[in-house]
Parts: sequence; C-alpha cells; structure tokens
Amino acid sequence: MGNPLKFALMVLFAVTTTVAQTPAGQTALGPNQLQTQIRRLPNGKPDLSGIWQALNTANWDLEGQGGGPSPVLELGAIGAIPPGLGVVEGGKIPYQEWAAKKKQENYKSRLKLDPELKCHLPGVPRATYLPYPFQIFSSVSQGKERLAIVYQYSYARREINMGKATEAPIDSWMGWSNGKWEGDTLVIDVSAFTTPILLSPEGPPSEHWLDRAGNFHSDALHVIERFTPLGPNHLAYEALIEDTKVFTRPWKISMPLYRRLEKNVQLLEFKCAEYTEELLLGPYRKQPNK
Amino acid sequence: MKMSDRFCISAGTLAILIASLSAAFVPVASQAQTSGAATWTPPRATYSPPRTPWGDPDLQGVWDYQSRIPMQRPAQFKDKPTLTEAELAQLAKTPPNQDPCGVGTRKDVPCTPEQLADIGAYNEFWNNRNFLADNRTSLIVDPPDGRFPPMMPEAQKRQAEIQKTIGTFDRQRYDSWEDFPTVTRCITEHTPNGPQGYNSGTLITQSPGWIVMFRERLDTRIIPLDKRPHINDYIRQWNGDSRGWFEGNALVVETTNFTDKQIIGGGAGSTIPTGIPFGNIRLIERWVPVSAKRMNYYATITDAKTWTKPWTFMLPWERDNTYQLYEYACHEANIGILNSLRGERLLEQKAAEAAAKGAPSSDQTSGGLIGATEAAIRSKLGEPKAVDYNGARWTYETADGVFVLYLFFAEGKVKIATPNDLPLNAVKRR
Repeated sequence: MGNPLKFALMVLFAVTTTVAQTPAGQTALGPNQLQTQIRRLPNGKPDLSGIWQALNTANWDLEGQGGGPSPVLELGAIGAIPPGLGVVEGGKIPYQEWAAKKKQENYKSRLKLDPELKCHLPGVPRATYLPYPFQIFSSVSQGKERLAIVYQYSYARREINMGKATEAPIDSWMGWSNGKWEGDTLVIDVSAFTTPILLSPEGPPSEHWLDRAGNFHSDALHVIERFTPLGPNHLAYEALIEDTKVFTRPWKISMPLYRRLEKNVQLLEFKCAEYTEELLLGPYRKQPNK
Repeated sequence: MKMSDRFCISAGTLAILIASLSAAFVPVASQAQTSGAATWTPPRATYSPPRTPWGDPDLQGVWDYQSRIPMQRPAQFKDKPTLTEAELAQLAKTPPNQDPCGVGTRKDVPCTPEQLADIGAYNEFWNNRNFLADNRTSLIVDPPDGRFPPMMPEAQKRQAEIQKTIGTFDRQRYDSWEDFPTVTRCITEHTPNGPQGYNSGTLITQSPGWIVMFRERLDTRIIPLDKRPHINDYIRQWNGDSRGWFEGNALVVETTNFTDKQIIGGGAGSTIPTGIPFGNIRLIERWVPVSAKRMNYYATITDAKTWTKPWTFMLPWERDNTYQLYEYACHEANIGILNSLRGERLLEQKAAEAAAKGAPSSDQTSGGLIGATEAAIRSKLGEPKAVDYNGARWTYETADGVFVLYLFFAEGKVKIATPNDLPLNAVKRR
C-alpha cells in the first residue's frame, strides 16, 4: 500500500456505501453505522475479501453437545470435547430412518471413519466451520467479478463462478459453486459432490461427513450458502442443506463468521496430508530390524 | 485440466523427459545480464497491462507454462542460447511424440523386450503438450552458459549423502513415504515451479493488498502485497513465506522460510535437483507482462550454502482462457503410495521366507526361464494368463494372487523375466 493513489482509492471504497437492508445481528454500534463501514466493490456489492473464521463447536456436532471427555484417552483435557449450542435451525437434523441409524454407526466408529482424521477435503459447508481460518479474495476488474476462497485446512479451495451459472463439468469434493448477489447477500449454490471411493483395500468406505459426530450426507447434496455482512468485521453465514437420499426435508444451519483482526494475519500452511502419513501408512514402513 | 486425470495419484513419478526443443519460433528479447549478481533483473518490457480499480496491474485469469526446453543447456548447444529459424525448422521435423516405440504410435515400430519391460512414465497419451513458442536452448538465463552454477564442496557432500538415503527414479527403494517426492505424497510441488506434462494451469485472483495463485496441481500461493515482514524464521513451510509488490508492471515476490524437508527433485514441475534442502533458499520471482497473452516468469534462486552464485531461470506463462482448473483431490485417493509400500514389505517378507527355506536353485526360479522356447514355457508353466504385444509379452500370476510374472520374448525365446527370482512352484497353473 505504498502508493498514495491506491490508499486514496481504498478509502474511497470504504466510504462509498449504499444503504443496505437491516442486518440480523445486534452489536454496540447501530446497524446503520456498521453498514456504512462495509467495504464495497466497484459494483456496489459488499467486498467480502479478508480472513474469516467461525468460532463455535459446529465441527464437533452440528446439533450441539455438552462437554465430554477426549475421544482419545491420552489427550486428556487437551482433546476433551468442548460444550456448544447447536447451529441447526430447529435443533435436529431431519434424517431418514436408515440414515439416523447410519449416523449412530458413524459416531461409534468416528475415530476410524471421520474424513477429517484422514485429512480428506472437507466439502461444503464443513469447510466453513472447521476450526481454521479461511480467506476470501474478491474483486471486480476489467468488467469481471471474481471470487475465490482458500481454507487453511489442507489448503482446500473454491473458485466461485460469479458470472452466468454453469453446470459442473465433473464432480468434486468441494463441489461446483455458482455465486450471485441478492441485495447485500452473496448466495452460492453448491452441487456436484463426489461419490466417495474406497481408500484402502482393507479400510471401510469413506463418507462425506458434516462434523466429528458422524453427521453425514451423500453425493446428492445440494447446498445454498448465504453470506451477509453485518458490519465490517462480521458475516452472517447460512447454509440450506438438501439431500433427498439422506434427509426428509431441507434444513438449515446458521452462524456468525468473524474477521481475523490480528496484525499481519495470514493463512499459514496446514498441509495435513503429511500429518496423516504415519496413521495411514505406518504399518507399511520398513521396520528397522527387518 | 483437459483430461480426466484428476485421480492420477502418481504424478510425482512422471519424469519430465525433455529431450528436444520447441518447434515454433518467437524471438526472445536479447538479454543483457550481469552474471551472478543477486540483483539480476529481467529486460524491460514495453507492454502495459490493464489495471485493477485499485491501481495494481491486472494479471487475473488462467495461465499455463508448458515447455519442452530443458532447465540446463545441453552440451550440443554450448555457446548457443537461442536457435535460428533454420535450426528450428530442422527441429520441427522431429515429432513431439516421445514414445520410443509401439505399434500405432508415430514411430510405429514394435517395442523391444527391454522397452516393454521398462514400465517408465506415462506415455504421450497423457500429456497435453501445449508447448509455448520459445527458441531458447535452456530455461536458465543466468549464468549465461545456461547451466547451474558450481556447487559448494560441502553441498556436494551433503547431496551425495541425501541421495544415498532416499529412493530415486534410478534406484527405487521405498522404506517409507519419505522416500517419495512430495508430489507423490500429495503434499506439494516445488516452488519455484517448472514445466510439467499436464495440470500446470494456474489461476490468478487479486484483491486489494493480495494476490493468490491456484496451481491446478496441489499448491495454492497466497501472497500479501503490503510489504509486511516475513514470518518468524523458525516457522517453515513447503512453499515458504512470500511477500510481493509491483515494480512498474512486474509482480515481484520474495520467498523465504522454506522447509529443509523438501529435498527430492526430479519429478514433474521440479526445479531444484534432488539432495538440496530448501531451507536456506531465498527466492525472488518476477512476473513480467510482455503482451496481452504472455508474462515472462523469472525465478532467481540464491543459496550461498549450496551454489557459488545465484541462478535464474525464465519460463514463459501464456494466458489460456479455455483452461478450467479442476480439483486435484490427490491425497484422498493416494492408493499408489500405499500399494508401493505394501509391495516392498511383501517382497521383503517373501525374500525372508525364501532365505529361511534355503534359496532355490536358478532353474527353479523365473530367471532360469531365460532362453527357453515358447513350447518349453508352456510345458513348464502351462497356458499364460495373457499374451500381449503380438506375442512379445506373456503374463502369469502366482497362486496366491500376489505377484505377476512377465516373460518377454524375442525371436521365440524368453529374453527377460520380471521378476527374475520368483520360485516357479508359486506360479498358478491353468
């Protein structure tokens, strides 16, 4: 930011605001004051660029839980499960009967089955509320709006198509994302998730998990995410989750996302594939005495 | 990505076999260089790219950097940094297809038993081969001889030590996942990145104060442009810690804090030879826009513990608006590395069992079949499970289903048996 013209332009963006819809959040400043502090793109839409993070226990259990002991004995209180209110609207996930049973089985085998344990790509919406920050890059330049998201966990990433909605050319772990604006809300439609494949000949089939409690979805998942700025440093995040193979009806999670405000904050590498090698491949390492 | 190779998990085992030169001709601006200076700067470009609303050059979009040019200048082109049009025309007669043999390939000759037995890398079918026009004889532009500068004696010793302890393409030894290149382990590629056979598409997205590069294969580089200090020296990362700024129209990025864990080269996209830990490298990269379609990418590598002076390579990046990056879900399906290690352990186990029983004589193992006729093989082993390449390769398997035995024939007799130490009584009769 050494360039004074650049700085002036950024200040100009910061103060060039439009009056927006009343935000859902409540804070010390009045909603209008907070709205005027939202940085905006040249097209008048909120600039969501920055490093964000969820601060809740959704990744432990979307439905919420009381505190509990560590799933791994050796970790004592370090690995203990923190208590948390749920993030599911209405409290419970509307599973089909078979799926409710499957969820219970998942829970029992969570130390073997959770894809997070194996550093698999987290999918959407789980990437949002993993206990790691993520960074949004947003711009409108040369008549083209661009939006990209990088998650610190495994450096998972998404390119959000902000142009005309397109069909996924291929399935993927992070899904195919079409974005658009509804007022000041960024709406991202995500679909085309992979069918998990068998990772190892001996191992169980991998599944798409929504949290560490074994909540899950299938490849029929369709997510509609909504990001609404509440002020310069807070976003309201909602995800409508549809999956006709697993749930009886669409259901919704919601949570605030917080801007990481530390000086010089940046996403450091968390390339967790490396951290799972001993776990996944250890039995096949040459033993020193052989 | 232009092929369905999303799950090609052994990318790191694809050796880039760059043997010859690009056929097309585009002159490269003559390069006035100051050899060895850490402040090596690229030639000035007259092209001025469009700007973002906040005033930075707009480099956004997808770029690719396929190249057939070797990192180091081959001896045959000594003192010849670029080729003339006539020389390029001569080279243009050499088809890019590098498959040395095969019926139906451009060469259209049957493979020899040796060629069939050599599994090698992916063949041409898997390569995009969207080479960019370039008339140079090496990617290295400094030193001016197009070669790596001499290594420090200590670094040479260290390199020899490292090479003894890890698996290489020439001497595959897989005690652990750490013997595989980091690409095969689905962790990272080299930064700086060099040419690779496919998946080198790179998406650039900018926002005020930041630039982010999605390499299709594995890596994401997030670069702050606000001249903040580097992270603490003791925090080390596979892709280091990058700080960028614009000098005129050129993006300049300084990267430090690389990890010493990165020591294996030789695979696709790698630039630093095997046996050189990255930890002491200071990397300066420059992306110089030279036209609406092209940026020249310069990487200057400084490591006074390893080389007697810094060196710089240049790789052109070309815009490709038709290139859609796909997800490179690599680790999720990395069965290859698991099976390689399992196979090694099984071989060790079998060898130990054989040793305990006493080694079978050579006429009881597959190596003893060399020289045998087809009829003799049939009488010893029965009918093969498969016959391929017009009878040149016969396939048998062991009764336990673990091992495959290939016999390669030339002039009606077995010339190669792979593996050559398989006890014949283990072969399944059919």
